[in-house]
Amino acid sequence: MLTLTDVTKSFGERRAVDGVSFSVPPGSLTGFVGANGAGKTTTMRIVLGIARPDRGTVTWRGAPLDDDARRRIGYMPEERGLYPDMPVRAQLVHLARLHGVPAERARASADALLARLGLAERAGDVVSALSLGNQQRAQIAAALVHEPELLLLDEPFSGLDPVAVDGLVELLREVAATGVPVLFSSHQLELVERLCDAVVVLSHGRVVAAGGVEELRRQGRRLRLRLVVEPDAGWVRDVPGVHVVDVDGPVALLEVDDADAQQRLLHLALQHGTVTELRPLVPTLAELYRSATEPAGSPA
Amino acid sequence: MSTWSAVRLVAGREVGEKLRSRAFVLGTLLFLVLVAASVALPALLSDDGPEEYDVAALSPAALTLVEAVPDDEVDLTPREVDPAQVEVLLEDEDVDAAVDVTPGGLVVTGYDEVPDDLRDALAGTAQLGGLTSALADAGAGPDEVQRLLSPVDVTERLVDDPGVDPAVVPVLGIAFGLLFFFVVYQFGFAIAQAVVKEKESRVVEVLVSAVPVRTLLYGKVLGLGALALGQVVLLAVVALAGASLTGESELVSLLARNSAWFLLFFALGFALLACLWAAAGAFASRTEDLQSTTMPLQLLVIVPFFASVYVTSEPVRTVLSYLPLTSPLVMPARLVEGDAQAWEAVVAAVLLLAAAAVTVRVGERLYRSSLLRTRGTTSVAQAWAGSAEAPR
Repeated sequence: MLTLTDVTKSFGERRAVDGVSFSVPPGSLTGFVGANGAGKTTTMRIVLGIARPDRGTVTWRGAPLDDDARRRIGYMPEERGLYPDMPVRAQLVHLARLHGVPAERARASADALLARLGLAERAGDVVSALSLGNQQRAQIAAALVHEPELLLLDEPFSGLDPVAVDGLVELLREVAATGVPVLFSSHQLELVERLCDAVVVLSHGRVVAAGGVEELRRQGRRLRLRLVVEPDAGWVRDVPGVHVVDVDGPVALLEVDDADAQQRLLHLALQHGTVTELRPLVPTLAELYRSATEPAGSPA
Repeated sequence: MSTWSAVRLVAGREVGEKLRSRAFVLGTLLFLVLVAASVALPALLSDDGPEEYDVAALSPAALTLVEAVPDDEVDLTPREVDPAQVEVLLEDEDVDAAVDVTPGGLVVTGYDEVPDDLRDALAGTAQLGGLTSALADAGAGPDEVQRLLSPVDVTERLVDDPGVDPAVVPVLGIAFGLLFFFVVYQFGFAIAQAVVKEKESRVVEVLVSAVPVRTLLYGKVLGLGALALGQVVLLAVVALAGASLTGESELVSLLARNSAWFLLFFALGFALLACLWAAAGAFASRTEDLQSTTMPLQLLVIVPFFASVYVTSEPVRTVLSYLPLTSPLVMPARLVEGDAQAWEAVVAAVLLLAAAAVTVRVGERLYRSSLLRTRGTTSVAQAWAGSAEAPR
């Protein structure tokens, strides 16, 4: 488990990361969501030791994260980069060895990853000779080649075509299934929703929501329903425990306080006409994200 | 993994990268060929037909011998001279050598050298059987004749042994200086280039997440420094081999005696600027910026070099031989000239080491705080002030 507690970092006057606390549990994929400049990259760099926090702690398995533990992190920076004029395989072996992997195992791991990512035939090519898609694959291999115990990926899906996204999703799931905590940032909320067990939402350097995606859906908001009843749904305004979001002819968008209110609503609806639809509306992550970030939009 | 093994990995990558570069390998080979040619060519070009020598014969036997030498290899003109006058004649270059036949063999005397071809021609002729009786007739005893029939002992004597040609010594000092200048400039720039390449390709983000920043710095400096030293040693070996092949034995031993000093000053002089070159590389964010960010370093290499060549007045030159920027250029030259004692070199080396200890730290601090700035170029002041923000 990776845990950040009250991590704060300013650049001059600007507070980039402000009292950030969250955990990344083992074996799970955690999405790191937030607008550009919300502080995601800075937070990752603090975990990696590339940037120093002004305040706060980062612990790994209960102990402060030190250089030895950091060497076992796999990192994919947002600004991709490998040596352009070095052959792919040699480069992967070099990076694995820099992370402390013995030469023999580094070579075996590089070969396995290259085969897995469909790059085995390009192993001897220099990176600059690869297509953009293959360069991305090489970058992913570079983050995984030392068999990291923790994965930090900054926008790993940006620039990937849909097939490559699916391939990476599958690979990350496999890695997480071995007990490795995976934290990745992304703008693609649908993807985060599909992939992640948990999310951390960052806005202006602060954590505005964190936890399991299901929890967040239920947390702090009433169940939302869509009701279609012919000929008209105007009567719903008077039902106790039911709050109207919108009514348009036979279609009503409602929120209910509890299960009793929901049953009462159904009962009355059957008396008022023909019910053609009554279903709960599960908020998308995008909606959760908007509702979480908008109120906290301007802390200054 | 220890810091040292990480430094070795980084250094190994730099060395491998350079050795894979065709431009580097061809450049080094060209350099070697140039050095070999400049040592060997003068000797090879001077071979143009039989050399003519005036040879003083110090006895009738010697005169017979000189006259008997066939003129296909050398063209000898025998001169009968007063033995007491020989040294004066040699000094005035009236004769090129003097020959005597003694019970111990031939004695060939030159002023500051005895040409090899002249000596070989005399020795070869002395062995010819046909001479035996002529020598006996000329008054040589049976023992002497017997000895002349066996392989001849030739004793060389010189009136004045100058060691190495005095004209060569200052040239040698300048050659050391040029070598230092070229190699330090070439590899210093290569360090800056290697640093900015990692910034430009952004691979530096991945690297600093794996190893502490100073590991990258020291790995680069040591890797490229080892290559630079290797290149210098290779050039020195080629120069020594060339000099000994062309028979410049005095020059060889002078070079050999001083090359250890030269290598020491080279290594320290390289270390003095290496980390600053790395910092200059880190100030840039693109290769195109290098010319401007490395300008101060270029001056720190060029100005001392020209000072070492043009400043010849004392005591300024002696002072320069102690100052860290110029001592790697001037002290080896003074040592070759026999102008400086060993203790002076030790003092200059210690001063240089102390200065390098300071510049290495300064370079590390500047490198650390500018390495991850990827927008535009960083100024020295920004880098110095920004070190608190720098990664580990």
